Amino acid sequence: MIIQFVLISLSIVILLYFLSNKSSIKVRAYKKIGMFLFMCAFIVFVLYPEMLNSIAKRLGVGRGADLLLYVFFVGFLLFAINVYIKFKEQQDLIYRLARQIAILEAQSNEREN
Amino acid sequence: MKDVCIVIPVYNERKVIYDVLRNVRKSFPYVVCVDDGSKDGSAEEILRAGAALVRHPINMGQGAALQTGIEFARNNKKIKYFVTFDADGQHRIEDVNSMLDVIKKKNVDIVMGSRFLGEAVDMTLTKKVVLKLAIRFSNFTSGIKLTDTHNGLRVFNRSFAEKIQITMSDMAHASEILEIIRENNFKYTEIPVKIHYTDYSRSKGQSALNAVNIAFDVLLRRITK
Repeated sequence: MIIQFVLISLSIVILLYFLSNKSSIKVRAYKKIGMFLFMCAFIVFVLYPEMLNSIAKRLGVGRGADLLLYVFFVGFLLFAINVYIKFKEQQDLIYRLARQIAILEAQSNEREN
Repeated sequence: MKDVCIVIPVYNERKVIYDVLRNVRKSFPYVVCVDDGSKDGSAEEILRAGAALVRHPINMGQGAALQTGIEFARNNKKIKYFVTFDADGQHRIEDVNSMLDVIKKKNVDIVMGSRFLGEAVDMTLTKKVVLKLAIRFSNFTSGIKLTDTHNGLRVFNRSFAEKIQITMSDMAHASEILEIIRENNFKYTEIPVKIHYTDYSRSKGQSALNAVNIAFDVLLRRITK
């Protein structure tokens, strides 16, 4: 039970940390390191499936497949929020451009009249 | 009233916008309408009523339209006071006048209208409940205590207008205005205003569920900032 609490609070802390420093060089580097470690872990666990099982047991989350699912869920959530933020930033840029066009057009119409 | 600019975001309001503008322009000749990509020919009605027209090439939301209108108006250096006003005719000119009196006489940077200090005529129960919840949420997340956080009627001075940078395009912009107040320590006050809900304004109103979208965006913004 304690380990579950630790896992949940840890993932929330990671999430908040990534979100609040999303553009810092550090976080961008951590993301890449994280991805690399993820790939390594993936290869290791495919080669030695029992290893994942024993880690899961030690953490108290049942089978290895369960642990995989939890990790995948946290990863997916991070990804989805990342994409959402990026989308909002892109939208803001487009809106700023459109706003400048609208204002310039209105100003030139005003001058003509 | 030469130093006052009324900023009105307009989206598909062809039916009412001409009358609203005529009425506003009797007291305040300088009106900037931002047509947020209307498809019903609102722009022609705006020009017919003699207001300045800024046209968004695409629909970008009410917050974005307000930002455009304020940016356009603040280029005009004669303007000292900025008023945001809704296009559907739910606000009253008398209220704008009393808000202008307050901002000129009292030492405040922004005056906001509150329908809960005043009276809201014919407000539906759902709207009332959602708004009350929104006010609780806003007071909690922004740290600024108000009785009505999502009222479109606001009057502010130039130093406030210069600071405005709305990036949340939809109704969530109300929380950004409070952010500006907090971050710059602007002085603010609320005064009671009357809002008249007509069948027309009700039909234009947003769905109560949209509050969920707004709350999500506001919270995400608080975390990522």
